[in-house]
Amino acid sequence: MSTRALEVAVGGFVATGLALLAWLAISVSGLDFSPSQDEYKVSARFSNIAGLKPRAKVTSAGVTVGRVDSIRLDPQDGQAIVTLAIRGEFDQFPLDTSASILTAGLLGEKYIGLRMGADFDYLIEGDEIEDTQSSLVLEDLIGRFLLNSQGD
Amino acid sequence: MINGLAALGRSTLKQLAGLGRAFMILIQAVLRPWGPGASPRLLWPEIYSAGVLSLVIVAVSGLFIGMVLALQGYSILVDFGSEQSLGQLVSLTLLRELGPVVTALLFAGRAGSAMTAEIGLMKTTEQLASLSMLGVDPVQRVVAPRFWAGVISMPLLAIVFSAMGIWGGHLVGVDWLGVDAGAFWGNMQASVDFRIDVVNGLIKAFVFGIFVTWIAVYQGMDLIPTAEGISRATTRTVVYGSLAVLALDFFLTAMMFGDY
Amino acid sequence: MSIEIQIENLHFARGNRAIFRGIDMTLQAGKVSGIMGPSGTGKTTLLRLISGQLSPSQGRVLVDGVDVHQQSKSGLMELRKQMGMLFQSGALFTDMSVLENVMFPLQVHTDLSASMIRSVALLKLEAVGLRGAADLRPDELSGGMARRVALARSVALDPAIMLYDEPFVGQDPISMGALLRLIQELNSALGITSVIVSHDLNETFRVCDEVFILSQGQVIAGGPSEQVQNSDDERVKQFIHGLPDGPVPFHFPAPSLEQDLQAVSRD
Repeated sequence: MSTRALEVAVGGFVATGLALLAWLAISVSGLDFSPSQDEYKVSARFSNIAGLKPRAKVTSAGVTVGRVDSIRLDPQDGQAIVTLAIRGEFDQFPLDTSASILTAGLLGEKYIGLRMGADFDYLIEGDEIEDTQSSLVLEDLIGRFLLNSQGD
Repeated sequence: MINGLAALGRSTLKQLAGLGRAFMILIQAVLRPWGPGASPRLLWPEIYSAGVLSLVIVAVSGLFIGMVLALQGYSILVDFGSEQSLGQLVSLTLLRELGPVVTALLFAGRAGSAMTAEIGLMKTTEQLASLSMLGVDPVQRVVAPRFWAGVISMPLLAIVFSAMGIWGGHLVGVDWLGVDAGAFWGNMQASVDFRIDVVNGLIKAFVFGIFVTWIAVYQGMDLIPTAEGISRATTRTVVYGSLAVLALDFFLTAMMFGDY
Repeated sequence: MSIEIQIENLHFARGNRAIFRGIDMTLQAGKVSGIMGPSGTGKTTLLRLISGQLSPSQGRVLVDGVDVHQQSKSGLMELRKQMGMLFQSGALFTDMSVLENVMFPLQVHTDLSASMIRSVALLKLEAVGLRGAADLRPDELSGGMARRVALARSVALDPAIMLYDEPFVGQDPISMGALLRLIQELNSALGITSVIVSHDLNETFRVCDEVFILSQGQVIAGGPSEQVQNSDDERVKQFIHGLPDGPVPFHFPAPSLEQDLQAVSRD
């Protein structure tokens, strides 16, 4: 095998590998290259986030508007503080917007759904969403159902 | 009784000596890969031999495994009404596990055994002794290029395997079984994390590459210089290499994916 | 300019089998010395000890007064530049052509230009009569031709010492003659100290000035060829005259024949 042909073959091999890696990065893992100045962060407190994970989607009316950036525990009152990164183009969420932790489908993962409020001022970087609805825990539901059915 | 103990002691010493030799070869190949008569240009033919020539088997295997994953995955998920998650299933299984592991097993069998046989033949025909008589370190000229070729080729091959597998999964899942393309790719993108899944898979492939290639070159250097010796050494390369991959996979998976 | 090789009280063992039990030899500068003995006496091992590829358990090998096994890696490399070794199988590098094989030592050890190296290599091939085979690959050569190319490669750096490992094995008479002539020419023209390890009596006595015979790890005869050929030593006589039985027994040690036959009939 001539040296030239060899070098081309090896170069082609490495280039193909790297190109496929790029494809895996973008099309498969959805690596997002949009600059993060395009997002603004707001926080929300929940009493139970059960199963919500960072990078979970944040939607409004079913449309993805952002991602969960981080989840922290407030050691003083035991609440979970979730930081949402909302894409810059969606900058018209009223201050009284509510955030609920919802489940996608039967086996689905948790995500945050935003419901717009009616305030005239909009949420900006650093604001906190006051109206939150924590994750529904199955045991509590069953407990409430039993309690209710006993009362009848 | 004493003879048994003596034999055990001798055998242990022999094993330790072998491990020591293997280690010295590794250190030499990693720290001083070049020298008189051994230039970096020797790397290219070895990457061709280990990497390019393995492309076909890796790509075809990846395609078929991806297709099978989609078939099996679909039949299980459809009972839960969750066939939308097929893309996620196929891609995560490939990127995290099957890509690096199956590629490494194929590599051990195809490229690893070839390296062992080549080096072993050079040892048997006294070419290695000639090299040292001519003042060239056989580890630098023969072992190091093959070692680095293996370490570089393995991650690239694993990428090809996973990519082909995901494409195969798409062909079966979307084009044949009718899963919605948007759901297939959308769910996949939402659940595959570049750092956790793709990069960890690459790290695994890299580690497998080091061990499989190391075992292959050591077996070639250390064998008994006869036809039978070469045959036994190539078998050992495939067996030990495969076992090493599977054992390492367990440890790496536990370390990487253990704590959610 | 010629170099003498001195072997002093050399001991070497493989596993628990002693191969050499105290060998003393002087391989004279500029002369052709032969080392002979029954197969298995470790003649090839001796060459490896001289070139430093193996280390003795006791004793030393002095090349031009320098202890081979006390050398550093670079010192050994310098020493090896002075030694050429012809392996039994030729040991040509199969991934290169004939010419590339001969050019190899020049490329590794000298700073000569590519064209200069090529010229020197072609001249070496010319000396062994194989310049026309320069572009062939080793697997296209016959055994005899491969060995001659290997010879050209070993003398590429004009070494002061040449070590020949069983050079006469499996050669047809014509190749044999060619090889003998080359060995003699190298020795007489360039004063190369030549050491031939062989069990071929006629050829070895023909070409060597001095001959040593090894048996059971020791030197049992050593001196000018004529002298050794006419030796009275029983062991030497058995080897030289090819007597199947003598100090080296025909029968491998075994219990008496009656015992073995009785054991068979009892089954």
